Amino acid sequence: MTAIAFWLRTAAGWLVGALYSLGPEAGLVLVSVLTGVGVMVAFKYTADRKALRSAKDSIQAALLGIVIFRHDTRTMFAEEWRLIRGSAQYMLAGLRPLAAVIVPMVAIFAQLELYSGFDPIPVGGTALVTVEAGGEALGELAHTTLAGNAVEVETPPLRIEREGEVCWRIRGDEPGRHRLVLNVGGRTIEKSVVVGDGDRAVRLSPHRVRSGFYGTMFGSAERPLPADAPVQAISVDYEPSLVALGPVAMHWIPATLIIATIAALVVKPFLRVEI
Amino acid sequence: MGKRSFAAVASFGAALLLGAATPSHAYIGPGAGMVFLSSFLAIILAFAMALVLIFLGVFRWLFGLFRSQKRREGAKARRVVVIGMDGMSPPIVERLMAEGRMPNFSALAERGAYRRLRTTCPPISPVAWSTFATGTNPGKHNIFDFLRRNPFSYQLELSSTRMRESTRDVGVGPLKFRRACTNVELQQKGRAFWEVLGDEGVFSAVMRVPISYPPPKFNGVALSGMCAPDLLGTQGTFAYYTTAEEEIASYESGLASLLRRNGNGTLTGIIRGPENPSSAEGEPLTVPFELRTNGSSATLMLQGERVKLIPGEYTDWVRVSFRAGPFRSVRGITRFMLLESDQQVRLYQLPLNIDPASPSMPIAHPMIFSSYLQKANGDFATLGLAEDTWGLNEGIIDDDAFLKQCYLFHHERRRLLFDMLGKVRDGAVVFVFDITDRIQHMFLGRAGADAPPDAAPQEVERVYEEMDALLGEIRERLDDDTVLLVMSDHGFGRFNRCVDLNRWLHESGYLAVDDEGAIDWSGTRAYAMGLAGIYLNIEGREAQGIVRPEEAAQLRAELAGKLAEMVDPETGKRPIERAFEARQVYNGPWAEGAPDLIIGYAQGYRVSWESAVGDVGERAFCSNPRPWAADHCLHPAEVPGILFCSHAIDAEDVWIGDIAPTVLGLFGIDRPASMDGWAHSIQVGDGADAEADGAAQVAEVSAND
Repeated sequence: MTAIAFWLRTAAGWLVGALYSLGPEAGLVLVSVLTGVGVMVAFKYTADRKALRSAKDSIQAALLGIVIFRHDTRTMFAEEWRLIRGSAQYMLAGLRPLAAVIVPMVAIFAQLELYSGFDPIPVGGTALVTVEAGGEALGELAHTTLAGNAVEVETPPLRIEREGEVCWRIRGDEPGRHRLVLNVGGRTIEKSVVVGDGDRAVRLSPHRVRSGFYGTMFGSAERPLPADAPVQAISVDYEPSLVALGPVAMHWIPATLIIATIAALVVKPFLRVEI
Repeated sequence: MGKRSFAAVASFGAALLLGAATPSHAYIGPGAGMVFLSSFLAIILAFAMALVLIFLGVFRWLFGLFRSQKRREGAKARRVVVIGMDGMSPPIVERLMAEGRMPNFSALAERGAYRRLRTTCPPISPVAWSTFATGTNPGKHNIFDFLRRNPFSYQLELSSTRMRESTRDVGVGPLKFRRACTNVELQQKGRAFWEVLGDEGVFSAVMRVPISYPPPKFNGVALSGMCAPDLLGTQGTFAYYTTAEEEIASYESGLASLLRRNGNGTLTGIIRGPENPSSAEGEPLTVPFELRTNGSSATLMLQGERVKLIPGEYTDWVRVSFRAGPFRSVRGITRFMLLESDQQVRLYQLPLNIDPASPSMPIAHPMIFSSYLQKANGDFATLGLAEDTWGLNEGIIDDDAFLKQCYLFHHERRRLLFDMLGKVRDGAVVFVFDITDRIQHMFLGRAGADAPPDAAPQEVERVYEEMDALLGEIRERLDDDTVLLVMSDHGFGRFNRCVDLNRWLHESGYLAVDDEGAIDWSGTRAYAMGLAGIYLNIEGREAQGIVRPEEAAQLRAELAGKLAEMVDPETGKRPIERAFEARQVYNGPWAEGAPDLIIGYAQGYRVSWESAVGDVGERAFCSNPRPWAADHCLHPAEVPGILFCSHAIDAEDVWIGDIAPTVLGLFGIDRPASMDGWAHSIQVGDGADAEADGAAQVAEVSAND
């Protein structure tokens, strides 16, 4: 599963990276438009049009019936029940296209999170670095050191025995992509860290994890830690980012949702898709 | 792996992914999100609405209790269902019941009542159903025929509606502009009984009752029936596409056009739609289509849709959208039938029905009602005279194709009826089925000119049995609080001989023709137009009238006498039983608009096709050349309708105009003074009767007259 996640992540990273090379806002808009169009294409070729239309008709009939037969409470409740059934049918009819789009979409949106979800550490700004032992005891992490080039480790390690974690505060001194080096019992493990890099689109990797589908797919842009690594994960807590769409700044999820929906509705009549 | 298995595995996989994800990982993208969000939104809204309804329901129930208490003093039924079966003929019903072939009708007659129902003069559907609706004679509802003449232009018009050009201010505040628009007005006057019921808080569903286009506003729902137009604004214009150039002819009620062969083996054609509103020349809106033949079948490509055509089978309803401007389109629905795809390709298309999901004309009340019906029950024919009798009359389709479309429409209407029976549990449901009328028009004449009145070919017997099966299904859906009435507006007779009244008037010296054979109004004293009327050319009433008003009474009497004595030289029979003087059989504010004489034909006769549209034929008598070989423009006593009731009726003699006040009486509502019909007693429940008011003065001609 880790390997699948890695390759999915790599493919999606290549696509999203190519589009983000035009700039962070342009990249987000392009990915969102492609998503909207892609979903419409998936609906066109995988959805059961008849089932979708039937479910939609049922929902619309129920809504109209509620208005027309509002004088009769019993009939209105029957229409309410039809509305609920129609909605359930609509969800079921949407499962097949959902199944078709879910894997690529998850991979692409995981990458969007890395590109648009966080801000790099500002020059002179600080962030926490957390190393997880992977259990309740610190184990080998009891004697751990952290160092980095162009990054200043400001604090001695704070060991939280109960959580199995060790934390440091770091400060970014120079802009760019740098490496943190963790020394655990003589073994060194690296973690990338990015310090303020202007307006250029940059992919951050808040986590580096040992294995697992979700750990590899989400929140990480680095190779998984070796299987015998003494740590479970290393994380840098970048600040969440907002995307500026014209005068409005918002999280990338609603921004993508809005743009993708508009794109989908624009192409719908041309593709003759039933949604 | 089959498609279903793949879908199941994919769905399972998707569900697994979703189930295993943590909340922060569960975001699945806007596309999939759109599906789920909208669905959940609908469910959440549905639940929210349900909660609000429960809350409001208490008040609604109390209010309803108060209102129904007020209304139900004297009410005998909670629900009244009236099923109209247009043209169902008593002699045939009685024979089939006697033969045990209509068990549901027999059961209804045994448990309740059966009467022959006196009809109107003339016994024509628009007249009879208008009397049914209003409980009045035609002088009060203003419908005397399918057609009426315009006294200023002598042009024929549809009697049910009038188009009126007007202007309307559109815009907000100072930003207003004047826009031309066309209003359609229902010409039926008086008030239908469902309007009276609505005033008293009784909800009604009125479906496909003739002369209900456009439907009036009232407390209930209505879907227009006979006389609702097609998308072209006509009463039904079929289209015929062919590769045979010699077949491109002018059809009376159809459009023929050429299918052009392309180099790649495909064919192209054009569907002609309604008039383009922005074209000064009145050019029609058009939609092109492509046809690909493949052996005996073919594929129609129309506006991005692929429709499989199988010879002799109708397609499902196909949507056709005509662009009438940048943001405006007019939508219709139609069905196609591939007639031939061998050496020549022949394609038949039903008249373009107004799309019920998005009606461009007011075919329902409220406007959203037709959308509701379409969403809840699927597409259905909206054209009043949906069964394309002209396609059969003009030889484009054969008997089998005609019958197939009749039954397709019939089954659509069954669905609509059952939906309404499920929705309206308290109030009135009125539903008219047309199939009986259309099939009898086209097939009953095949029983033979001298066949007894109860004789019928198998096509007619089949439709009677079909209606019996329908009645069985209806009865299963009714409870003890429901009164069921099953009725027809008139019966049926043969039509094998045509009487050209205008030729006869010309030969008798009442009508003059010019050198080109057209009517010379300056020398004409009387002329025929429509299915049953003769008008006098009265000075001051008609634009070129020459009969002085004081001479009119004498001329009417003279004509009535001569018409009754007319003899068909070929058969030696009298073709007209009686010519009724309208002034003697109608009263009311609109009686002046009636034809001066109403013709009651004898069995086997009807006005000729030419005379019906105001032309003058070549001979006063001829054989009917068309498959439309049965009709009902006879003396009213010859063609009574039927009336079955689920409960006993006290009266023996029942007139079609009695049904409206009788239904009102069942709800405990007094008959309005304007109604001519009687409210008959119907034994309901514990034997209490709806009181017979006995106060009406029926001006209608008696069936025994």
